[in-house]
Amino acid sequence: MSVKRRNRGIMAAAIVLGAIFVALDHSRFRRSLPAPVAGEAEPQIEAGGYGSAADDADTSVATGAGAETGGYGAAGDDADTPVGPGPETGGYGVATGASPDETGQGAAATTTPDEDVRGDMEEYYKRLQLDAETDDPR
Amino acid sequence: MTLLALLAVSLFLQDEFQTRQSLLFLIGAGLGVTLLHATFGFAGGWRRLIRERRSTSARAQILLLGLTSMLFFPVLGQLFSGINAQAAVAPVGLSVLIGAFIFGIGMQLGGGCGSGTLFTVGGGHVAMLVTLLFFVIGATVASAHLHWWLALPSFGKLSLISALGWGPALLAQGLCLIALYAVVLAVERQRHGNVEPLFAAKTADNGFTDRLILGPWPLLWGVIGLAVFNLLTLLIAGHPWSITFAFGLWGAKIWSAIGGDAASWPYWSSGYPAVALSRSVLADNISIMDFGLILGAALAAALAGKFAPEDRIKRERLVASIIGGLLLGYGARLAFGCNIGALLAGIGSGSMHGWLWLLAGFIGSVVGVRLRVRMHLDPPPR
Repeated sequence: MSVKRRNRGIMAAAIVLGAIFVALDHSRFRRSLPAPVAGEAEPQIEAGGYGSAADDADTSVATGAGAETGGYGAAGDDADTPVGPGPETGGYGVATGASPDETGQGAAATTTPDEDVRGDMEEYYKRLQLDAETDDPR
Repeated sequence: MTLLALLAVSLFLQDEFQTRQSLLFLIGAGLGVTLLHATFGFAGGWRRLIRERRSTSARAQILLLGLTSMLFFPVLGQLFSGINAQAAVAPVGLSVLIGAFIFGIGMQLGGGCGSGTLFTVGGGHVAMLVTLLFFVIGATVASAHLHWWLALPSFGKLSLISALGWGPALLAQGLCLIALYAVVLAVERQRHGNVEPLFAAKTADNGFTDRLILGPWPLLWGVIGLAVFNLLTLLIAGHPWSITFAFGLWGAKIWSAIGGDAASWPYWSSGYPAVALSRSVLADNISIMDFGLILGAALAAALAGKFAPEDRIKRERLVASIIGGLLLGYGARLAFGCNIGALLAGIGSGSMHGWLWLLAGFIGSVVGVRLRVRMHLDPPPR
């Protein structure tokens, strides 16, 4: 077998494995969603991440309120910008009705409210607002 | 076939999620095409500067930083109302210093940076697949340790835009970038007595349209393409282009799938990381853009007839890919991102952590270049 042919085989195998990983992960998530209401179209899953989701991950931890508590999304950047609680509620998987498009925030929402998550969030919002007041909003 | 796959995934995302998710996937593909056709890599450019004192790629990177700043600062400075875009501002601390230094070593041993690893994987380079695999492992392990690293001393967040306003901040940063450009230019001229032209075409024997589709592109096209796609990311996703968060996410998901409990680690137990871990990987902006980037690069490589080149992987190369990948992943997590999420997005956002990343990452690269010689990956410099 030529090197080129072998390399193509390895790449093809990697692509197949990657596709299986994505498909399994997505179907697991799909199964975790509540069944759609009968007679209604299946709602779209809202995607994205709050604010600087990328840097949620990349810059978030330790940049703001969430630092010590395990890293809260774009907490640091939240604090930097005078955002109100609305975007956050749309942004963290809490289906409060604020659409990501309206708030400009990517939503991490599933299609149903999650009261447990919301309970956790409220403490965070309070901290976040405090940060927004005491930090340096542009 | 790659084009069909791109379209199919894009349509699926549109149907399953939102238009935005589909657009971000296509932007990722555009970035992949740009990176591959322009062969725009940070690791190789830095290595060439360190070993040969040739600065073509380094100058293109400085131009990219400048153009990105020009596009980002007015948006992030809220010149335009109604655009809600978040800057990539992170603390200037020991975790960035150490993480970027480690990343700098890793990018030389692994043979690619964050973007470089993805687009070369898309191009079918098997050695880079090994680097990517260990990049993911390194990022995952680092996410388990991150709370410890983040407890190290830090100056906090330092944003030029917050401190000066976007106009003066852009002027100040522009002057710094011009000074940096002059330094690398002087380094090259001192060694060689001349300077390689930055905007020269790599080949000039085909027309504009052919080159646009089939490549190769001059570096300037790469600079413009990357800056414009990054701006589109900022406007559509609400945050600058980023890469490596997704690697830790994939690793944590795989770890959980095989029985581990990544969700209990501090990093993955709250906030966006927790949400991302619980949702579909396709709901994560960064993962989607990474997938698009790989497929876009694969498309470009196929168009150029370069997919899966005839690389025979030597043992030294394999060992370097493993070590390099681990260092890349671990370093990126500590430093709040890679050369894209921390260096380009950080400097483009006026955050001082981006400048610290640049300094520490370059010093790490100097060490990495020396290690490459010791590991017989490169001949000793002349």
